[in-house]
Amino acid sequence: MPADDARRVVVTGMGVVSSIGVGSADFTAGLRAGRSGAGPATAFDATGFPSDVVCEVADFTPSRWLRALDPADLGRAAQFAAAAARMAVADTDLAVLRDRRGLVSIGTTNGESQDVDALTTAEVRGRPLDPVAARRVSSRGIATSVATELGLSDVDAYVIGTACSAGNYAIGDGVDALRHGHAEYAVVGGADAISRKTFAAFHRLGLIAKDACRPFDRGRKGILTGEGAGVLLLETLASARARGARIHAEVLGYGLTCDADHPVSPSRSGIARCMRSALDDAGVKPEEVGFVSAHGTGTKLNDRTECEALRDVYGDAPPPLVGLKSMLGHAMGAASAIAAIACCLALTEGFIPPTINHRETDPACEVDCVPNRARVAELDVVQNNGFAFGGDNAVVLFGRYGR
Amino acid sequence: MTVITGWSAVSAHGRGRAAFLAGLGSTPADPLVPDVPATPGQGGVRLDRASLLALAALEELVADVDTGDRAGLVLGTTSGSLHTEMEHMRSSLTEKRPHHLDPKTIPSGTMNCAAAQCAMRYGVTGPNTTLAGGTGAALHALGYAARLLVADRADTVLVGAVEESTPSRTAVEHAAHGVRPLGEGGAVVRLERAGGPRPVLAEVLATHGVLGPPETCATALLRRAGLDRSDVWAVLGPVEGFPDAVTRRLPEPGLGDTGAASGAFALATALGRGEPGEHVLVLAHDADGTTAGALLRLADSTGEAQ
Amino acid sequence: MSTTITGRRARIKELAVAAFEVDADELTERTRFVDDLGVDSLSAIDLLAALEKEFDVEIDQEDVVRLVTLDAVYEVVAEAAGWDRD
Repeated sequence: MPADDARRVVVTGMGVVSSIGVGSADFTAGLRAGRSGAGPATAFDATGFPSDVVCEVADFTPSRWLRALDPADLGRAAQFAAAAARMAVADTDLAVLRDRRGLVSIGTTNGESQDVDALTTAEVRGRPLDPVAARRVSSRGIATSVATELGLSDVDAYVIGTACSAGNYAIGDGVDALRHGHAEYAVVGGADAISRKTFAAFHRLGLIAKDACRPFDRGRKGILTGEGAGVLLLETLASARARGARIHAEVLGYGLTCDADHPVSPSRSGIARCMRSALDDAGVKPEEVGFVSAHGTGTKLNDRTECEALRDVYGDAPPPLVGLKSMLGHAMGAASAIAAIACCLALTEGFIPPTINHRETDPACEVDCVPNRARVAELDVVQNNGFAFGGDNAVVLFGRYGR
Repeated sequence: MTVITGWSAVSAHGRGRAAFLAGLGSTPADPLVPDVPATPGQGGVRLDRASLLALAALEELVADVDTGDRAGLVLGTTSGSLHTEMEHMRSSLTEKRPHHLDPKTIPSGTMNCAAAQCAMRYGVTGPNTTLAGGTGAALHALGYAARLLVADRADTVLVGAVEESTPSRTAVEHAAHGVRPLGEGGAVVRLERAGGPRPVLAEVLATHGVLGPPETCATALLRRAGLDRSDVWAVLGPVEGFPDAVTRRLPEPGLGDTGAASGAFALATALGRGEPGEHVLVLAHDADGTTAGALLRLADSTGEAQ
Repeated sequence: MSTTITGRRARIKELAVAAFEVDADELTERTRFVDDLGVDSLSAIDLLAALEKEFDVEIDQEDVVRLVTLDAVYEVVAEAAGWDRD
């Protein structure tokens, strides 16, 4: 692990928009209380679907957060991302960032999926396509919206589209850019919006639970689709110290692997290889890890495979494996970015968030998932798992600053 | 320093390097890529056109060195297979039940399908990244891929971009930016650290992105490479301030607006038609105000591309 | 078997052949989809979707794991459609 301050990467800002809380304080309270984001869909008409439960960000008012951009010009994913970015720089002098070379790398699964849904609906009903919505179909708009909102111009701004691990990919991209001097700060994370088409696709695959998401439970039935954004401000330790920034956590390292095996089924060996790669990159021994934030979708296959891979890497006494999607639903490309912020908050606030809706641990999983109640814990290192359809795995390790 | 040691392209000019180079500068009668193989998707997936184009673009390039855990793949896109995404929504609106969409096309409705299917077909098990970056996607991807090499996360990275031409994309693009000819295809290069055994086609001196005009991006690229404007032999992209003779030395692909593939085609043009030892500046600018660019130095003797 | 049943079974086989992208002679009444043909999860769901459309029924998605042979498929559809077991 690079030890000098110029190569150590720290988190100096966090912004979160989620179904269990908007902003770090509200989100922390949600994690501690084991809040559920589940409720009936309002973003689309769920009539005729086998279920209507999703995890939406209710009562989101983008104008409360955005200063430069008009929310009416943005798709919902960009609204989430730009709002989360605003929160992430709340205690940073933006003039400092604007003078520096930066990276804006935001992950997404579906881009502005609500715009695609609306354009298709217009077409099916024989109406003209809205040019503003049509221009937002290029997914990079999510990243350029973040840069525009913060007034950043000397930035590489793009979107990582590696589906449901995209948030972790973007964080890793920021880590490498900072370690190797390609950027002096990085605004990274993920964003996605609930959409009818995504809901339909997961239903067709039989992967949606009708009432609740129950990772690692014997009776788990699948995911709830979710939405939101998580955005982190990253810089080197040297930079953070020099400007006296508050340091929330250190990003110790990350790993990327591709299963190259199956379009929808996860691979135990591909996931295990990714965890090992992240631990190596971070210079962390398995016994140092206080808990693992699971990909934990609550599907039969993911959870079993993830637990098997965890044992392959950690042996017979792995650290607790927590399924945040039990609370948040599956926020797709935002999921691992929101979970990353949960990891940082766990380190600073000293608790392990729970896996809610838990009744009985599946013997095929056999992990301590911290059922239903948050646990007080002094943590030094936590691991954040993100996997995706297509076998694109990304694992990030965070450390308590000053551990 | 990262270097390019191979490239390939599929376009309306045909499949492969030779067809691309032969067609450069002319406008094909049919804007679609001819004879795209209907490769069956791995795991029962019925593949979208973007994925088929990506598989075809890699076909000629991929070698043993490009597979395994130390090989990566970075593929640029605008937004994946827009047609598949819209088909799913159409089915949701028009079928008997709103979730009655074609199961075998579901993986194709996610942006990373093309890169993931390429990884499966060719056994590329290192970093596998899909990058959405408008017409500059391949140039952003080149910078991202170079970083994977610098960070020692891979020894070779296949990097490029693809775009599909479909009725859905046409309808949305025309609504967004006006009626114009649209094209499709993709190009991919092999990127490695300098000093390997394979012949070098070009050095990647710098990549850069800005939320700003092409001029800003060009200036930054030259500064980072320590070059003057007069050092640049050819420019591919919308930037002024270089003598006309310089900007016009390389032909346009003549393929219409090929979206994310356009930056990749510009790289392919530079690699295939550039003068040995010369510098080529490639820039892509989009209506959202973003510019992405790369500055290449072509090898003194490019030899036979592979 | 009645002609109705024969016809339904023949149609189910046609749907399975299409979903699994195999030749009709690879698929007998006793062929096990996964063990003998290596049918993947997406193709099994494709069959389920095709059955729903063809016979105008709702099949519980969890029943996809029961679609293991043509006989088993007939059972699943018969339950969903309320066909008599004659």
